[in-house]
Amino acid sequence: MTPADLLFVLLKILVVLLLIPVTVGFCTLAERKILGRIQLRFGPNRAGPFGLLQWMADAVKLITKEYLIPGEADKALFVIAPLLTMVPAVTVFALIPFGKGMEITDVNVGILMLVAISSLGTYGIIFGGWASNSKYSLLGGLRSAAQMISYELSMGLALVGVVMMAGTMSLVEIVESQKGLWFIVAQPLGFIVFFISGVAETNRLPFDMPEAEGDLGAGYHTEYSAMGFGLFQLGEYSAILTMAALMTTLFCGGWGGPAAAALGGAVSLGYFVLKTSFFVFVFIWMRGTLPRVRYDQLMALGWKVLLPLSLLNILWVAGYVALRG
Amino acid sequence: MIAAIRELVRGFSLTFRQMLTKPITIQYPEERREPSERYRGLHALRTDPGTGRERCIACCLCARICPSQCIRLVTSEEEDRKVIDIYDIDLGHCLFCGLCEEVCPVEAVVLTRRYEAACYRRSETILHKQDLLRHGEGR
Repeated sequence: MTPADLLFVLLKILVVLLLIPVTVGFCTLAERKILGRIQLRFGPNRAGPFGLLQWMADAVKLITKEYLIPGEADKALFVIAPLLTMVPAVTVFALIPFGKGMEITDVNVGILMLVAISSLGTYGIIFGGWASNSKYSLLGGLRSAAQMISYELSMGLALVGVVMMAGTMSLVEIVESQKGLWFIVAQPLGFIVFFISGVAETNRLPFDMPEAEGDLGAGYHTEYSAMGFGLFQLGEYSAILTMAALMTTLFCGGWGGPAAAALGGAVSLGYFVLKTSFFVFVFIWMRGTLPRVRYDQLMALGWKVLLPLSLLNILWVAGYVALRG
Repeated sequence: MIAAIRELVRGFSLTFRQMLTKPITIQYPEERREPSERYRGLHALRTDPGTGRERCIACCLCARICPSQCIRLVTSEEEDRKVIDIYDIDLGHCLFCGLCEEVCPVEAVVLTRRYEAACYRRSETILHKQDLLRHGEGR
């Protein structure tokens, strides 16, 4: 690798790193706006035109507030925990092809790396729950751990279907292999399993058990204030973005679309952004519609429904691949 | 299973339709709620439009009927009639029942549709005679 190549890669990383917080900011704004409209409210509309600068105001507020660390807390872990949720969620973007030839890196075991990195995010939540030394936080952390174990399994099995059909683990090649038929059409069951476990993985409603403001008082981040809380939020929304980008990449043809391959560049990026924002919208829409499930229902859904379904999906994909040769 | 999916679809379509409707929020400083005709808001003392004199005859019935005893009246005599020198209403005690308005024989004290009673100091929660007369202008 020549120094010029290295510089180019660093530049790409920098651009993505700078874009993610801004995108996350707009995501939070979109969420508050859409939830507001669903509940017949306006949502934030005071900061800037249509409240477009609200995320900036929030960021400034969070940065300038006092960072409180509870006296009984495990200080080192307490500080590290929010970083541990945010960093993995952002790191995953290194693997995602945003457009034709627009990826930071193309790893040949992309999917494995992705699963490995994204499951690291749980540690942040568990550590956060543990280090706060508060019962609500600890319960939130515990729930998060149990939820992750249950849903990572069916998510991994849903990914097996994708790998089988694409015949590769590289995300770039997976997108290429969906040129003819999107995997959402070829294996709808796999997509449903992936979607539901993806929602559970990102701790979003209706599966926001670790947070559950009703029963745990904000769960793992009860004791967090200022930027610690901000980083947790940043991590959560980055995880949503990641998950939406993954649904796009793995099941909906990534940057593919009419004339995307021929025109390349901006058009393919446009398709990617369009599909990803659709999934982000579905995440928000779901939050506005569904109530939180009970904890035993969550576990039952994970182990008794999604796991068998994902196995069934693998069987289906195996048959599909075998028949088509 | 089918029923569950149908319910999900119903829920999602409902929230989607709600999202497209107009929010019912009243954007307060720019838009204001129009209270109903019978709204009982801040008090006012009316004046006689012909002579410009106060309608109040200082009978003190309002102070007497007030359930929370928040009206304080000090009266004196002018050449042909009794007048009020002090007419204080303590909004911190008033429960806006409207009995003062009902009992008033000359319809001098009335409840207006004004509802913005927020203030910065506790002393401002007491309406004095001049405030009440100002509220009653043009009524």
